[in-house]
Amino acid sequence: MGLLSLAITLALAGANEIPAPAGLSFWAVQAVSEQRTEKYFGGGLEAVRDSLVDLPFDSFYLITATHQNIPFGRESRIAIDKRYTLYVAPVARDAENRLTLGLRLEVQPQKPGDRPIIALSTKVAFTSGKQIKLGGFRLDRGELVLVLAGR
Amino acid sequence: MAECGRLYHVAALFDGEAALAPPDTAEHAATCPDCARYLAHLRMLRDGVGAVAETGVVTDGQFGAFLDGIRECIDAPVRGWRRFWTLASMTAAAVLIALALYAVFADFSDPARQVEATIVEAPYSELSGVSIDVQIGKDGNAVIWVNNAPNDVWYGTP
Repeated sequence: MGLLSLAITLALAGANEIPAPAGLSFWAVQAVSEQRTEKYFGGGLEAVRDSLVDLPFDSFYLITATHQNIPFGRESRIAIDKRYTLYVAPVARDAENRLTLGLRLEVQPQKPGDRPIIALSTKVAFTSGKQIKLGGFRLDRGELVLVLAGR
Repeated sequence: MAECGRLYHVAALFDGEAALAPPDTAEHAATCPDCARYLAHLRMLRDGVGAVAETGVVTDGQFGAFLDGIRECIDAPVRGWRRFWTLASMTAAAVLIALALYAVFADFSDPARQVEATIVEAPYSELSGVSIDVQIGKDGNAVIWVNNAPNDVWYGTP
């Protein structure tokens, strides 16, 4: 009976426990076709090279990379360039240690006073070690590719 | 059926208790048909009992083998349902331990489970005329791609 009470107490304590901030890594990459015979990866892309190699571009340049610990219930703003801004909000971490994120990529308006346009909004759930690639967003030259990884 | 009144004396004489029998008892038994028949009956009984009354004797030379036989019977395992249930319980315990170890150490990281581990919900875009493709690879990595994004005012030169 004592063990049962202890187990219930621990279970209730675990249920009320606030999950630790989500450790997230982001890479914003400019993917370009430059008619190269071999694929080229700029500096800082070593960790995501395998994720980029199968994309239909031959040159990849790092725009920005960041590693953040974001508390659950908060939204983090990551400025990629003058036009694109990524918003990331950790939503939950389930019993299988799967992290659920709310993602929103916005394009800044050119006219002052206009509201940003949502280029992509979604919710993804993935485990540590998996990567999420977002792509297809136009840049002046090539396309923007975002790679996300959770810890 | 009339019997001789001296059968008791004949029996006493036969048992070697001559003091209980008159001196002429033997002579009488030789001439009396009843006593003669009774005496013959007593002899037959004595011979029969003597034939079956030979008691086995364990000699000193046989005593070691005699004790070995007793020990062998004592040490022999008891056969019965108790032994069966013991073996059945041990087998069941071994199976449970094997299943528990399999559950702990088995590799459940097959590609199908990894695909289930990654989920992409309701991708949405306000850009007009675009389609969104979602692919989740066998390795559990996901690709969300916006196709045919227009090169309109939102993508002008910054």
